[in-house]
Amino acid sequence: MEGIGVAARTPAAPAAPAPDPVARTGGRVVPIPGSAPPLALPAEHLLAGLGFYVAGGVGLAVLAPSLARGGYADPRVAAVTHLFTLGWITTSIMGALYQLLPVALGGRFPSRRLGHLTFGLHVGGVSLFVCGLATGRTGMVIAGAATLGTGLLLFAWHLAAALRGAARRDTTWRCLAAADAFLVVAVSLGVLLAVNLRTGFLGPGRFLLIALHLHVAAVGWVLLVIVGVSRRLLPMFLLSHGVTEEPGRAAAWLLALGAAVLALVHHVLPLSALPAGGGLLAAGGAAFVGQGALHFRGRRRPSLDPGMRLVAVALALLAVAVVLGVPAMLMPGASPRLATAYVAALVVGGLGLFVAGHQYKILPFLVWHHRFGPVASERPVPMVAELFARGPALASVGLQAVGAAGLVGGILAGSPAVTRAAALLLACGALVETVQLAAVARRRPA
Amino acid sequence: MSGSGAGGAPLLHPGAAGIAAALRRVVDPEVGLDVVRLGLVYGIEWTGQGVRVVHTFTTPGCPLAGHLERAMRVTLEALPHVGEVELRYTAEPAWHPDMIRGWG
Repeated sequence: MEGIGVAARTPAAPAAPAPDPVARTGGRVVPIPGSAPPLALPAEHLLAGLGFYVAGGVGLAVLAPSLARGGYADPRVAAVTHLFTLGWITTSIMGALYQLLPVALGGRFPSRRLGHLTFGLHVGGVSLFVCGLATGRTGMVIAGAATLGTGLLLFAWHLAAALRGAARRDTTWRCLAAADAFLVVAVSLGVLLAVNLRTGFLGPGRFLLIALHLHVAAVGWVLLVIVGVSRRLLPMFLLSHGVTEEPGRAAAWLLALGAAVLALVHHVLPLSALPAGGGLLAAGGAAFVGQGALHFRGRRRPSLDPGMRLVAVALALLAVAVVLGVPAMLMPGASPRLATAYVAALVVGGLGLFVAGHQYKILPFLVWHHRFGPVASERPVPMVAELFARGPALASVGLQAVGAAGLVGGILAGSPAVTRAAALLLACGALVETVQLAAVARRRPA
Repeated sequence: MSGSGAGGAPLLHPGAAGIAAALRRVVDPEVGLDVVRLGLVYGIEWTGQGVRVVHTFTTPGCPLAGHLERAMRVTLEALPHVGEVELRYTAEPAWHPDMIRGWG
């Protein structure tokens, strides 16, 4: 294995042509931003997120008949949805932000201890909440909601504190700041829904509130984070520097405005504002897909690694979600299967696979950075991509891609068999990725 | 040996080509290319006390910055007759993939 180390390369190559003269540099020295936390904090989040991902995949397979009927109102479907949104996606995002924000924006989370505390509250709360929903125990649902809500609000405060002290305030910073605000709104709407379980005070209005809660969480929180960090991650992983960032900036504004409209519809804006909010979200989603496509088209890396292949699939399924979301929004309640397929394309495909692709990049990188980097100058160390086997990773990518696409297709076709088979493929793919990355997390230099 | 002193006397340092050759052993572990081929090394010049390497990273705030700088320093300090090693980071011009000098 070759690495940065002095003795790592094959014997010195023949003398290379001399680099360009120093006069080209202009001479301005820019400081390197602050350091990231120890490996444990992001790693515990990323690994727990993977565990929720596998559980969510299995849950989809169990609920395939309900999904194929378009049974989005089934509490067990809500349980599995939260395994993905809160357990898989949000836990992974939290872990990634602990690493990314200090490096990318020069901010610092004030307390590692608070990070571990919010992790415990969040993971414990999600587990309780999902079990309660799946088994119909209202008390457990409310206890879980209170626990995870506390964890999420503490995390939101922690993120806000890190953003407040950030050295750089660019589009990424604005996306994260807006996403943080929408996280608080999503938690608030979720609390209303949890209270409604006991009191029923929302009446038929609960269906509207469920849709608003879903979109503020999935788009206002998750997708805005993804749009913000993609500005840094996609060029870095694809070597696509120099690609125009206008579609990404437009996506950020459109998604933030759309999520704000939806957040206000219930209490401030009239229901007639819903199509405007939905239209903004669709336009924002399309703009982000366009930005991602530009990065992939403009990449200088000759071949895509497993993680970036999965991200490409995620972008394609996000485009599918945009296409399905427009009729689902214009004809609410007309086709439960369409609505269910739309949510599957958005949450499992677009958002979930995007996170899965980046997990294949971020966790091995963190392990290399913390464990192999410090000794890389002294002895040969593997490359980041060599920390896990490429073959199983590609198999996992294929399983997840076919599984997520098949899930959407199975629901649209109303086929429980196709839906279940696709969910099982997805779960197998998630399991392979989890096993691989758990092994990476244990790796240390020889 | 390459280069010459002020009075025309030969110097023992390896010359810019030798420094660049040594830096080709420093590999970005994420991209898989060495820092010279990746185009991160903008300039090499000799000072009175040793060598100054002006370099950049693929992005400001590159998470690998510390590792790459340490590896470049260790690599160059291991060369004979180099003297002091000065690494000067700059973000101008910003690195761009067009600066890559071929894959493989």
